[in-house]
Amino acid sequence: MMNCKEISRLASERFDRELGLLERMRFRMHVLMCHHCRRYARQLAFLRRAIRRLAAARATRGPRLSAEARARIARRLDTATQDPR
Amino acid sequence: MNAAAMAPSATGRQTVEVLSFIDPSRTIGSIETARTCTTMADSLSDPATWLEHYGDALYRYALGRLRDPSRAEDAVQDALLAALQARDSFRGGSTEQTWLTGILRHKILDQLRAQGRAAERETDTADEDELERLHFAGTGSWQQPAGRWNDPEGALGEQQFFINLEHCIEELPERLGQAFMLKEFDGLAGAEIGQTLGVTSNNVWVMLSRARMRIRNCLEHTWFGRATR
Repeated sequence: MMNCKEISRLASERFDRELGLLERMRFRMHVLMCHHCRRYARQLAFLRRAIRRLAAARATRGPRLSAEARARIARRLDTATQDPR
Repeated sequence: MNAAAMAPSATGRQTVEVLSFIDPSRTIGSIETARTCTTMADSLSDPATWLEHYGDALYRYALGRLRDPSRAEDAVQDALLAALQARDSFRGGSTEQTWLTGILRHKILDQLRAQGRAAERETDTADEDELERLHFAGTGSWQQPAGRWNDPEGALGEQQFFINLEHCIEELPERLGQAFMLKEFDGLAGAEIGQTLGVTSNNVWVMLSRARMRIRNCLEHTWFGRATR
C-alpha cells in the first residue's frame, strides 16, 4: 500500500515522467478511495493548466527592462559594434 | 489566411506584401511592419535595433529563469554581444527573435550549470521538506489536507489570479524555482534539468513535486482562502 505522501508525489510526477503500470494502478485505486488525495491531484492538474496559460501570456507582457539597464546595454553594444572584428 | 513575403528596408521596418494563400502569385495588399513580426527572416536587421525590438522579451525570458533582475540584465547583454559576434552564422529559417532567444538560453543554462556545481545540493532533496512535514503525519497520511477551492475555473478568467500565481512562483526557493521554470516554461525533460542543476532526474522529480506543493499552498492562502476542508 502506498501512503498519501507517496501518492501526492505521484500526483506530481505523472506530469514529468511516464508512470509504470503498477504505479498507475496504485494511484488510481488510492484516489478512488481517498478524497484528500483526489482533491490534491485535481488541484495540481488545475495548477498545470493555469501555468500553461501564464506561460503563453508571459511571452507578450510582464516585467520590462529598466531604462538604466537598457541604456547601459545599448552603450555596451555600441562599443562592441565599433570594435573591429 | 495569407502568406507574406518580406522586403527588408533600411529603416529596420519592412514592407510585407500580403499574398493570397490560395494563389500566391496574387498580391492582395501590403502592410508596413516592424521587424518583430514572427515571419521567417532571411537576414538579420541592424543589431542596433535588437535591444529596442526584443529587449523586453529577452529580459522576461532571462528573469523567469535566473530570478534576479541584475543577473537577468547581464544575461541579456551577454547574449546580445554573443549574437553580434555570431551574426554571420545566422542562416535564416527561424525568426530573429527565436535566434536571439536561443543564444540567451545557452547563456542562461551555462550560468545555472556553473551555479549548480557550486550549490549546496542536500537542501534541495533532503528527505524531509518543511511543507511536506506540515501536510503529512509521520505515517505518511494527511494531517493538514488540501483545502476546498471555490470556483477555480472562474479564477482562470481573472488577471489578478495570474499575478498571484506569478508571485507564488517567485516565492519558491531559488533552485526549486529554477527547476520549475525549466520544466513548465521551457519544457525541458527531467534528465536535462538534472544536468543543468547538477542533480539526478529522480531528484528533479522530487524538486518539482515540492515546487508544485508550495505553489498550491501559496494559491490556497493568497487566492482561494482557507476554505473548509
